[in-house]
Amino acid sequence: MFLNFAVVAIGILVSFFLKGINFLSLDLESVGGGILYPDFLLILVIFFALRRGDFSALWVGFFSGLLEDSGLLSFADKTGEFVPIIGTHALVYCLIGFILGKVHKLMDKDRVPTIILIVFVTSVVERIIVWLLVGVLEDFNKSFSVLGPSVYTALFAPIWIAGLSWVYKMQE
Amino acid sequence: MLWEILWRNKNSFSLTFCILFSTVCMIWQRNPLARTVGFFGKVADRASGAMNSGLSATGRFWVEIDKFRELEKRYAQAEKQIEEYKLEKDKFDALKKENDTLRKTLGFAIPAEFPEVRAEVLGVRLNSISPRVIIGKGEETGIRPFMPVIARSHDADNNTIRSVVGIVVSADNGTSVVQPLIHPGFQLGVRLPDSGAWAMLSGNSGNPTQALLTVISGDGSLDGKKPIGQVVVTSGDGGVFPKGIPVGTIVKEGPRQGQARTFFVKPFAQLMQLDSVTVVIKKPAAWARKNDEDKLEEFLKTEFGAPEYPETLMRLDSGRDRGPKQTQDPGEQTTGTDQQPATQGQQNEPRRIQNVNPQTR
Repeated sequence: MFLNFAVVAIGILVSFFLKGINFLSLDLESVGGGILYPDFLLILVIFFALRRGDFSALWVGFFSGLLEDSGLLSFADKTGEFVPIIGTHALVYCLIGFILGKVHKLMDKDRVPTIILIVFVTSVVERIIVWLLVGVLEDFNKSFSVLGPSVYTALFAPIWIAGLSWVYKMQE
Repeated sequence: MLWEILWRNKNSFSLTFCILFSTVCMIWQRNPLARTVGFFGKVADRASGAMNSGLSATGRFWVEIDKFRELEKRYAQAEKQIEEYKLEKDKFDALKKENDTLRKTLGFAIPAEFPEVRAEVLGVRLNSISPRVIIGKGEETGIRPFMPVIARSHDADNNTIRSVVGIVVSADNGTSVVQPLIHPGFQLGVRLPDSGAWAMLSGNSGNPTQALLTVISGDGSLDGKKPIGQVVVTSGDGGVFPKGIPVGTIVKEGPRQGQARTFFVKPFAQLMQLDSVTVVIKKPAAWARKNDEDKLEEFLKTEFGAPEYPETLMRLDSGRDRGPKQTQDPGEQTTGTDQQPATQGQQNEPRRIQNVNPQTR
């Protein structure tokens, strides 16, 4: 039980670290696309939804989202200071995990094109909802791209899911 | 019994808890848990930064070996240059001393030099909806929110300059979070020295690596000068950054916002490749106060030039003027970049003379 939690926690942390690594980024600045990073945390949530169902994916999504939210700061006009805003990614990731976990039996989750499609659609939906939520709470970020990172995340998904499958199979 | 009920309906309870928790946290932003989560996030960012530097070092290993020989030559040249600069330093010190003496004689405020803290960059998260830079120095070195952060970078002519990175938004004991200038919430008053235009720089440009400049002074013609390639510097008007720090160069024209022209600015600071930054240990209030004083003097100017005061008023004014200037805390004065002694001296010449030597009248 404890080992199970520990392995899941390590998976979340490693995915979070990988999310910000320049080594895996794609520089499209010359064509005005900025720098793309794959969203490994989202892939992890989708992996748990497809392999372990809604309950696990819900909690993995919630904690992954909390970690992602940890760096969000908003300027509070009343107090004149920056305060952390948490809950946006936590809400979106846990809902994504729960919904995908509910319908995972309907999908052919071993086919690479299916995984790519699921990750792409989920990433687009996640980014749009996060953009709206953060926009309502703070400012609408005009520089936040939706399609580019979603495509890049989807292309990375089969590799990362294969790696995660191998690690969690060993653990089982 | 209770546990059994909970376990039987674990999905519903979990979902309800997660949704409620997230919603409450979004609405009640100053909850104590938010700070705890923020702390864990900073730790995770720090670890991520360490991993990042390790991986990039491996990736660049072969490229670095190729560069090694060339660097050896450059190192020898640099050593020679350092020797030459040591002599220049003496000249600089002498000039500074002379400048201070002259300022004292003329009754100008001696510009205070604010301490600076150099900090290592622990992590850069530009892919987040809220881009941030984590640095390895915090409150224990005097860093506080709203302090300006600058870094060494190169201008278009490849000269080494200090340019704007962002501002500190949160600081704990050992680390701080910097909001970079491409953050959607970042705004900065700037000037274009080539054309003299005033503008507002915003991080919310629609381009993840550039900032948006909105020209707010004049008709936006930029004095007939070609806008592309113009350098943008801080105006010092917001009270956070001192005047004259380079920000970036205009790379292309943006869409018009009503009457105002907009341009995209590419920052000089290479945010992705930041290894270290410098935090100026200065609270914004003093610059803001200085700017208010400057503004008052600007309002006094008319289209016919600076006002000439009647002699009786000048005498009264001189006695009132001297007090606060002498008692001003040096730590609350502005930096050298904030001052324009020659111009101010010329513009307010009658007042300055009166201040220096009232007995001559």
